[in-house]
Amino acid sequence: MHHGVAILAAGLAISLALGCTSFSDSSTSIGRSSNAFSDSIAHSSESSTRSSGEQQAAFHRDVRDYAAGFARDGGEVAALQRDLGALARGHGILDWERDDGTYLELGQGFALAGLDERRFAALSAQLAAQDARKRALLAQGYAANAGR
Amino acid sequence: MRLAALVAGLALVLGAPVAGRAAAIDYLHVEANTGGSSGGHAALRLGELVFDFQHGEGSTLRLRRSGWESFRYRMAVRGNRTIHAARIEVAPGELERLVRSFNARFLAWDRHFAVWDALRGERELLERMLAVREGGPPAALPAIEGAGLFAPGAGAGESAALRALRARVAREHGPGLLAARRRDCEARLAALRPASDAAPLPAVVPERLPRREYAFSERRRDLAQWIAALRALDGAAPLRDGVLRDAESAALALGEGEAAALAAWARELEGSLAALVASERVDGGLALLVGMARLEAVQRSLAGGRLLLLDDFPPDAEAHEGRPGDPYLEELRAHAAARLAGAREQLVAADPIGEADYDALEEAANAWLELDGALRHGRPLRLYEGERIPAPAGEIDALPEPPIALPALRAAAAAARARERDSERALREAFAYHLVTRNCVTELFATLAAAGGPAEPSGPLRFVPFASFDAVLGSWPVSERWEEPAFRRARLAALYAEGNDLRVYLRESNTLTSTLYRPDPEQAFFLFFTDDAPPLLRPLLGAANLAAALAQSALGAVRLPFDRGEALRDGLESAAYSLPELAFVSIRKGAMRHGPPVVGPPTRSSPGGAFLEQRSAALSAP
Repeated sequence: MHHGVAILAAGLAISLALGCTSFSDSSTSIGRSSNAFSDSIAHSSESSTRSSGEQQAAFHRDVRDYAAGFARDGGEVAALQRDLGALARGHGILDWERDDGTYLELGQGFALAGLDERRFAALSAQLAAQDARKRALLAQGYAANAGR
Repeated sequence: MRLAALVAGLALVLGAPVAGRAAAIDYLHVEANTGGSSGGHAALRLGELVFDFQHGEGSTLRLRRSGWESFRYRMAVRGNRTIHAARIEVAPGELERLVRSFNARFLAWDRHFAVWDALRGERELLERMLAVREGGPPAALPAIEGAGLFAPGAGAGESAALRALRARVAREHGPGLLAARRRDCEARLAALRPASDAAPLPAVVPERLPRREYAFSERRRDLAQWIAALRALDGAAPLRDGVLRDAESAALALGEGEAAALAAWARELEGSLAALVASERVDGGLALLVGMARLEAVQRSLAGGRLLLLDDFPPDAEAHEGRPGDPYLEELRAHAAARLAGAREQLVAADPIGEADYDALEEAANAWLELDGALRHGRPLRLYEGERIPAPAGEIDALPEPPIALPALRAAAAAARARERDSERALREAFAYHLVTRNCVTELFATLAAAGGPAEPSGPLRFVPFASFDAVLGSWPVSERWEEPAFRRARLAALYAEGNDLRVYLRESNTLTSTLYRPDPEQAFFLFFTDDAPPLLRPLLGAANLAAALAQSALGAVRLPFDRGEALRDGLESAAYSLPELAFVSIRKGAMRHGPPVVGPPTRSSPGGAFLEQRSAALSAP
């Protein structure tokens, strides 16, 4: 009996020793880990329900959440651009600049983080200095959530 | 039109958070198995997203986000682990808030580890540059992602698609833009200098995005990609051999609607690329390279009346022997065919076609072609767990290298080593995994509570995944319990339903004669499945497993000098998992490298249903 208990204890010790599931992916970047859909076989099992529209919507959600964090915590604009690139890649998008939603969501995220108008204007100029249309989209997103 | 699509997309995000499902959250308990999951696992399903904390590199805790289907496939099919779920109804606004909160934390955590990666890349690049300067081989610097798409130099012919794009760029931005941009990038690359001082890194606060720099290695890669892209466009370079998939299948013939859609996409893409050439975006070079390669692929598809696609598998994808007739691969191929058909329909229906539409088509076609090639021609089946972008790496001829003085390079490499070390130490502290106080369960509850979700349930040993599930059932207002059966269990049930239980059991009870099980070669060998064995038989089967494992260990000891102890390690691991079986506890369930996409519908019950008792009985038998 004692022997059995000891074995059971040993078994439980082993079962707890490794604890939770180990991180098996080689992924460490936003793109890779966010796009768990991209396991080449799992992908085949995803069915066709996750449409490109949903991918785009998921990308927009990431942009807004990331922008809110960036507005609060700061950093280089070039690093923000690279991070946007990594986010977009995870959703099958490389040319994120072409997507109006990117700028709308950036503006919304900045506003959600409580970025004041002066800092928003500065960031907007850095992100879209040469492009009035992009600045307008940023402003539109910012206005939609300002004060919330 | 683009605005309409955007509004629809925003509605998807802002409106009903989870299309097709009532607002609910599911607390998930995943049963244990070998391979780093012997304690079981816990996760939270929020709509179609699953968040879970995993034990990662350097004994850190990592937050992962998956789609539900991907999570289910990884756990229930490949991992052969039953998923138990407890559902709690929530208001739609609450679900949205929880998704936001988990997502923000996921992005922040992920960025912290990305900084570590960037610092590692910085150190590796500088050490390689140093090695080259000190007499190392000339090709030691890392190849540039995407630079392997186009054939370099003159004499390889010209791409008509790129010639047309080049003319459009000249029309829209002036004839000198391409050359001016290329010269600018080359000058900036030549002037690039790494930081030579080891400035202290900002403190790591897990919930906040890290303040990070645009590193020297990232600048070098970005500029190199721009240079590769601008040179390819300037010379209207053709694609390299092997970049396009060789697919003769009649199934890829273009229908009339598809040809029209692809032609529209080509026009849209050409306009996007012409604008991108003039962009100041730092990482636009890769987008330009891949976009131009896709433009060429689309034009060739239109010319040949058959879908031609870039190969999107990276060179380090695992390749496995193709198995003509493998029924699981047949099921996967049928699934992939349905996805491809859906992507083709979406391409025709989309107005305008977006990059995500084409990416979905490219990805689905690649998956189908891979499976079809393995099944019909016995070609190697490549598997890759990670994002797939058709951007093979390559060398870039005559790439300007910053003329950094040797002492400065040594100082920069030393600084990079110090920063990487500091970053690793800080991350290990900030994201430390602890078996009892900070694991997949405790962090899930803490994150949920911080987001204003249900409070941490009470119950003994609730840091253990299966005990946490019981605690949730006892403390939260659970409206429904359901489970996603493990692959083998679900398929066995189907076989038993066909009759002759004894014959089925005898055949499927072991790894040698089982028709259901395809062992993952990376898993340690064992003989008998004990999780579904009659309780009184488990110690007996466990003893057989132990004997087999010890024999494997002895063989492994003999082979030690030849396989670096791999067989010995496998044998000992198998022995360790056999021990609990002697005491009626089954952890090992067998894992597979691939399996069928669907194993059966989930089973459901009300909170007072019976399966919890069945599960408890299975865990604590006899």
